[in-house]
Amino acid sequence: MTEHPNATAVRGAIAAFQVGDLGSLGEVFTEDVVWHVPGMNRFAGRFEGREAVLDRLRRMADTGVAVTLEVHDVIANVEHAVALVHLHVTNADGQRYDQQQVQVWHMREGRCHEYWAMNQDQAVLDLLLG
Amino acid sequence: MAEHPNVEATRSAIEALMKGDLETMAAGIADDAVWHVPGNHAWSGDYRGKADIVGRFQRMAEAGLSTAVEEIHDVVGNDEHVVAMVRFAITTPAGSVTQSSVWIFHVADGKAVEFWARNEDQGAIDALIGS
Repeated sequence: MTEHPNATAVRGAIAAFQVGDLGSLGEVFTEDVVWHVPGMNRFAGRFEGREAVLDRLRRMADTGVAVTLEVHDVIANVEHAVALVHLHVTNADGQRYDQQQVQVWHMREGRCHEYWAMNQDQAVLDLLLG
Repeated sequence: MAEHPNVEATRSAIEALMKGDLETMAAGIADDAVWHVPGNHAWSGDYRGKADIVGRFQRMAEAGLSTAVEEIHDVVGNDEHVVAMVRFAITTPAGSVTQSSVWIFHVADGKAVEFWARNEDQGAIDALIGS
């Protein structure tokens, strides 16, 4: 079976994120997207609206946090896309986090309107991000 | 697009689990499957082989711990992976928690060969079940 278009869209969004192309990334979000970032760190929380989501990603980059993702697979249907990824995070002090992450993208007409992520070891990530 | 056959098989297995029909559920699990149960509690860890995986459910029930899938929000799948988004409740003699969870099945030849789960609040589950 060919890949669902929503899986292709999420692969494209992750690829845009990797190269810092927030313009292309933003096109995958609806204006009213809600982004749920788990944990108890300075970048965690609920972000409402495309600008708030992109702003959070800019703030992370500005504080020296580098994130790279290796995509294991993206599975999708008309309403949801799930990305299985390997997450590598390096903070400004050079501390590294390297774990699995599951991303759930809720899709509407080919765009993401809600996002949830679940990390393998949230407590370790919280310590590293502060 | 039609649902992938792996999605239908996974829905059937979860529905069987909801009814306590472990035999039907087990038919969807490969003999050499590996089950990774997250957390830090009495029933977390890696379970290897169908007998051990199914046996875990039986032993949990005997110990007074029940899991109930309250909603299958959606299931997505392709040839290699199936992901189920569910709401489920864990009940023990000490209390109950209800959470969203993502269940990831690695599939080969229509059967689950590996399972991972990510829960919304693992700490709350660990605290309820205890070690």
